Amino acid sequence: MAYGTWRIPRSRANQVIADYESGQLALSEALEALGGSSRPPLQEAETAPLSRERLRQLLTELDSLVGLEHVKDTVREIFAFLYMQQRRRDCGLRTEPVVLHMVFKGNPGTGKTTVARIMAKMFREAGLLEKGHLVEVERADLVGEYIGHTAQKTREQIRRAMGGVLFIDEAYSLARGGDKDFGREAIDCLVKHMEDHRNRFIAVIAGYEREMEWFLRTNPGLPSRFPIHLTFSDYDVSQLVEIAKRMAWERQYRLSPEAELKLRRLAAEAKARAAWGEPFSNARWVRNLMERAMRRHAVRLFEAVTVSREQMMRLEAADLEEGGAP
Amino acid sequence: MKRSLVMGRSNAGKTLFCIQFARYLGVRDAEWLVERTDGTLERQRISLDTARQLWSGDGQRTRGLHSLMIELPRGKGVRSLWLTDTTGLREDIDESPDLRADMAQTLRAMLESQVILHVVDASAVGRALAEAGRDGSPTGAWGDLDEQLAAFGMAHAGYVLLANKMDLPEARAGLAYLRKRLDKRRVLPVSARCGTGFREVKQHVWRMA
Ligand SMILES: Nc1nc2c(ncn2[C@@H]2O[C@H](COP(=O)(O)OP(=O)(O)OP(=O)(O)O)[C@@H](O)[C@H]2O)c(=O)[nH]1
Ligand SMILES: [Mg+2]
Repeated sequence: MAYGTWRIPRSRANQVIADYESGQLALSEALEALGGSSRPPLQEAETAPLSRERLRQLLTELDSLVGLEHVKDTVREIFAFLYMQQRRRDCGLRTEPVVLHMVFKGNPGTGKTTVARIMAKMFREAGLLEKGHLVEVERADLVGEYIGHTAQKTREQIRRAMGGVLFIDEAYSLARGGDKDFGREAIDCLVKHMEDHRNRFIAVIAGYEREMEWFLRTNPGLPSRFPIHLTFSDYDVSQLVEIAKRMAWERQYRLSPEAELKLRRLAAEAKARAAWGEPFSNARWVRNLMERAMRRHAVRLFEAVTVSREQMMRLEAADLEEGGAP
Repeated sequence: MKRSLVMGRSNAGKTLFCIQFARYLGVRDAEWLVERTDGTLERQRISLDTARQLWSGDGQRTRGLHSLMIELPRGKGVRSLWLTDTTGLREDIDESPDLRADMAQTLRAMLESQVILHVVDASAVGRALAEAGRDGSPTGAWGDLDEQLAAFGMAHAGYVLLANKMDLPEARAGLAYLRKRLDKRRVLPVSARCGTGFREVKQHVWRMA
């Protein structure tokens, strides 16, 4: 008798429970399926439907980043697609299951983590992730020292990332050590959990472009599981200067015109050296330079008896000096 | 025979609730029916006091379905029904296959039950809220799992949520959250430890019996 009240047929309910039992569905997914797709809402709507207006708001934070035009375009495409899927669903049209695991390719300091963090928030706002936080890990966080240790460590990181984004920096290093290396086990474990917990977290694998392409080529199971690729190009000199100015502005400093000129020259030189193979860390290089400049500025004015507000804010050319870090 | 299923997250206090509620309804000499996932059925005569020591407490996870026959007055006679304790639900990603089997058994029983008592540790919800700060969510104490179960329950006349451990101070904030989160009339505050709120639960079960 009680059975008559269910929306989904008995055979379908049995199938759902069997899928859960064999590990193909997460528990909450199984419960959701048992409730039927048109489940009555709880008293409050948990996730507002994705509106075009909201989507625009979400994109503003991303748009405020310097450069990255190609990345911004791709993100816009992704969200436009998600929005269309929703409208199609509302009209009863067929929708494609969306896989949102991503590959971020680019040199250090090109904004990969920043973009991942913003996108995680966007996915949360769009109701695709429960929490929208970012868990940033690298090889050492995933790979263990003995058999079984790796699965345990990887699982732990995935558990932390549930409801958010798991960001694996320099992911290609997981395949570095050959077949006997425990890195393989970490990849397998990741892939398994991506299947078991579809839609509960999004994995982002990141690293240098060439290395990531090699990584995907040598792991045939991966490309289909990471359908979205974003390429982060190096910043040009003007963009590096723009980043420096914003950093200064946020900390209530300004660059004097001479300082800006010098910064332009230093950036051009660093990029020229990078072209010859010297490591260059883009925005991180700028940050190191600026933080050093603020310290040098403080030292320069240390002995002065009176310092004007203007002086306290202004970084001069002499304050800009490259330090040790690339 | 009709069944009242006591389900919810692990450690919410399901086992203690079953034992205390049975005591409240006048069960003295308890005979338990234990259904395991391998299909075996076993009768065990274990007093409520012993059961409390054996089965409820930290690290004592219930496995399988443990049912007690309870009787409620109905007209001139009595109606009997099963009060069934279940394996706690949790969504660890490293849940083992046999634990999954136990939880699948809970889900199957859920489809067959006339009454669903969803036990939630309101004190843990309150604590998690305090930790999460303003606008935070009570991670770990109330999650996806409970939301989906509640959503399922909204379409089921026999569903109520028992906000348990109301004897603990943090539980008040937890109860307030749960009342906001779903239809207030479906949330009953109880303390399995102290036996408070049992009258309302009894009324609900009686209506469905
Ligand atoms: N203070 C307080 N503690 C409670 C209450 N109900 C249960 N507990 C405690 O919470 C813990 C878990 O209780 P159990 O009854 O074993 O929980 P359970 O839901 O059956 O757990 P699983 O079988 O693992 O799913 C025990 O330490 C109980 O003493 C309550 O109303 N108040
Ligand atoms: Mg128990």
